[in-house]
Amino acid sequence: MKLTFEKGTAEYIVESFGKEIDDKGYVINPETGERVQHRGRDVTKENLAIIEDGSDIFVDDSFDSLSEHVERARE
Amino acid sequence: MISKVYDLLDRSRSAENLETDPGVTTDDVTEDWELKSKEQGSECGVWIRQSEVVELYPDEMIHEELRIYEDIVQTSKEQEGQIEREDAERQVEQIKKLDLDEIDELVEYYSSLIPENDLELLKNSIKLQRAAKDPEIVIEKSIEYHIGNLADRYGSHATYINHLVSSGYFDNGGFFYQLRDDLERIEGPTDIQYRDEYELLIQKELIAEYVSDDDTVNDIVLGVRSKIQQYFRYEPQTGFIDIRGLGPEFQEPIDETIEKLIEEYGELPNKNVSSGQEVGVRIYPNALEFAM
Repeated sequence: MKLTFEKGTAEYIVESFGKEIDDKGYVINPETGERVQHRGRDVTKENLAIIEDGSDIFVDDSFDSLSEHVERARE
Repeated sequence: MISKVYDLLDRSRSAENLETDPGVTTDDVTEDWELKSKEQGSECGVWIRQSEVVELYPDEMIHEELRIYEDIVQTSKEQEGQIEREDAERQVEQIKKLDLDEIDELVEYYSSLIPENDLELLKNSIKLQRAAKDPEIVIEKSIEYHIGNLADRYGSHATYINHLVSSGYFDNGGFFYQLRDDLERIEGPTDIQYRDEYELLIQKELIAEYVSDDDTVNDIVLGVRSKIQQYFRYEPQTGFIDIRGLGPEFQEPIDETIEKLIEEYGELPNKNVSSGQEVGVRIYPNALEFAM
């Protein structure tokens, strides 16, 4: 079943994949404290747009990142 | 998947943490329904809608419900290949309206000519500008927000590249497209010469002066004068400098700029290169050689 989420529930979504949101709003790996990035850009609870299957790619909501998501889906 | 959803519905119902629209029950929910993870709008953890949607409110869920919720989120991603934020899903559908094959073909033309970082930037800029000009495509957030994101990722020249893309310099038949043939005619086939010329034109912003909202006529004159000086210093292959504004409101200040430059230099060959909503005047600095 297809699932979409509202920005306000991003915290629960990332926790479903073993990640957390720190007190500054960044998505982090709780084991290392490292920020999760998408192609060099920090992923936050504000810009988290898509989680892709496979290696759990956390995609931010910039136009270029979403365009590249479309490209990956075409391949 | 559906069994996990039924499990959640059973638990929410027994905990009296479930709402249903009139005319629907938990038995109506099937694999074809959609799930939406929502922030506000219910005091219960789950709401079954007539529109064949099960709304999930994790803020209202108790511990065991949340565990199943997380399981459902993971399973949905595995089954569907992704989970999306609602507005991102809308944006993705808009992006799919672009002619991506045609854009691929255009960008491929530049693949051996410009640096890899700029090739990627060019591709994303073409997509963004095509989307911005297509009345059938809606862009979430402002174009400035997205150009700012490109600048963060690729460098500050992303703004200039976006302006150039918007003006058609990279289109099939546009200046950068023709430049390869022009250079080959002069110096024989060479990608290295092209790259050097490209980097000069982009780094020094020699092709066009873009007018912004807060520019006065004097600001524009200063900008163009500086570009003319740079033109004679670096001697690019262009033969022209364009003065452009991304909107008809820039016609008047650009016209006044041309008048001032003519007063200053005595003569200044120019022609109108306006296109669509964008206004532009092309000047030819070589005619000023003796005035400099």
